[in-house]
Amino acid sequence: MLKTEKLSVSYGPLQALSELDLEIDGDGVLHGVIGPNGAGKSTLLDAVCGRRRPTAGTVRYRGQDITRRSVAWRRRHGMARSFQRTSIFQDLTVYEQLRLVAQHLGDRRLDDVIQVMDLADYLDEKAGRIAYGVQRRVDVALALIGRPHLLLMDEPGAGLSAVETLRLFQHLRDLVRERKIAAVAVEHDVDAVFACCDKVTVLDLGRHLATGTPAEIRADRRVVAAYLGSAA
Amino acid sequence: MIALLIANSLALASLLIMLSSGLALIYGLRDVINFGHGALYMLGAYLGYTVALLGGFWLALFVVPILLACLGVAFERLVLRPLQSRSHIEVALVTLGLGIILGQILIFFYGGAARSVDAPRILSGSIEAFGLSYPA
Amino acid sequence: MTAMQALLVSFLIVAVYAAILGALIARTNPLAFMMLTLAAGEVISHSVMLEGLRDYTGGADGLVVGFKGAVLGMQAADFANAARFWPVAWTAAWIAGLIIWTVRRSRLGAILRAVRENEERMRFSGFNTYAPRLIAFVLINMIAAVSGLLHVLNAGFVSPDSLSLSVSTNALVAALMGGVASSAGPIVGGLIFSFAQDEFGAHDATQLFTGVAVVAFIILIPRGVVGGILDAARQSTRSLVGRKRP
Repeated sequence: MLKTEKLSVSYGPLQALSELDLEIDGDGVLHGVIGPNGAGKSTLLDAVCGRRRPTAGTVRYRGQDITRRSVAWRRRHGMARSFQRTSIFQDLTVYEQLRLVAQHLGDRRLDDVIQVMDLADYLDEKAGRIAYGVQRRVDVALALIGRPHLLLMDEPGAGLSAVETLRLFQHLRDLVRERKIAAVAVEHDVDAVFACCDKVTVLDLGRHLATGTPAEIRADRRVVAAYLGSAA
Repeated sequence: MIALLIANSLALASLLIMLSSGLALIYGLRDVINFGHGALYMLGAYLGYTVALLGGFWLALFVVPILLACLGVAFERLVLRPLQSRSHIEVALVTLGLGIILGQILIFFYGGAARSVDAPRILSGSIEAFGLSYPA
Repeated sequence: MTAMQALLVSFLIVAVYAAILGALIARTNPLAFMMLTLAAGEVISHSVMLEGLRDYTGGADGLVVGFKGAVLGMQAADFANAARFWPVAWTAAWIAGLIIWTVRRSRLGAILRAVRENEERMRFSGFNTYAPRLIAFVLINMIAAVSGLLHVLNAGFVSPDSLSLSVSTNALVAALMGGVASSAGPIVGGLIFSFAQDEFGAHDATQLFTGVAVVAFIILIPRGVVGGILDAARQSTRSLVGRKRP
């Protein structure tokens, strides 16, 4: 589904991502990415979704080299992204913005998305007026439209309580399994990640540290030393 | 000839630099595009003329920046803070309107004719550089 | 070339110019776009004063523009006559309003509104955000071209003043006064502005009026006259119907 080869991104002298090789398999996989601040997690998502041009390396999506493709192209071909800082349309109602994107991407089953993200009660509200937690659900819903094959989520739990984050991740896991899609979730809340993700990748200072099942990562001494040890 | 052009350009450019750095500063720090900036420049010039008439060039050079600084504080308190929640373009347009009003007020008080301020002795006359005198 | 042909050619030239300019600047962020349109306007208004083009543009003195024959069944004298001219201008204004209204309600309108809200998210939702903005830019320039051509027919005269920045700021103030959130707003605003300008012109204070109007309207009536009326109507229906919120 997704494969990065020696992906590197630098902002001037700062090397945010160094030669990262990552592989995400297809059907029904929820893949978590964790790491301390500055590990390059958001940069990874930016490079994969096309928001940032990598300084070196390639991004392969479903076998194709898409490193040079535009953001809009990637979205139209099934790679959707949600944002750490909620990025929705404040002045449009929830329904208006969902419908606008659904029409564009040719998705006739908008009700599915509304139901999955539990937005039925908020459809006629202007997005700027609803609670933050609901706004985040709208952010994710916008990414779910059009039945994407690959979901990239940037800290979906940002600003939510531990309980809400866990619930969100459980939701994501169910969604991913049911629709047989792949999702990559960058997240700070390691508990939710370990509880719900099938695979976890740990980044540190822009480098790949370890990839494995939650159990393997928990036991990995390098990870504990670099990251979990300080968070425990 | 070229030297004269360069000298003139540098003189005008230095004024422009001061003007644009002020504009850039308020945009960079306060996220406000001040369309009335030119009017403030004009105000500074006219106030300078008036103060110079009363107390000479050096007094004007000292007093006018202080006056305009006070105006700047008033501008921030009375205009920018209350309008903080408005969109960029709305604030920019308000500065435009205020700039126009200020310009009209100045024309009302001073009329449209050009005024001049005599340069103090130390800054008048010409200097010699590279075999040429400037201003000629 | 007949007068009608000349008008059509001029219109096409402006349309092409708008397309080229738009192609260059439609990608930029709102602030940069604003400054670039300002710059482009100033380029045009100053280039007509170039000595080399004096024969074509009349330089600072302007050009007297007359024509023989009929345009839309009217003679040059008819256009200069306010009583005969205003139906033409009025009709043109409302047709323009209708076109804008249609675009607002169309898919293009929805896309433009969303792009204004959050351009990045639109790209991330698969939209090409450049094309709609370019189309909108060309469209509004074409409408502006029509108004410019009508002005020339009516005034019989054009000078660098017709191209000055204050023409743009006046149009902006008029739009603000009526309200930019609706299609009828700018038309109403144009009416209010013209009446008010005549009033203030009598006291030789048109510029002052413009400045005061901008500040007053933005601070007190930000949605303009039509916007304010629409808002009030919405509020009263809401209190009458008394909708329950979850």
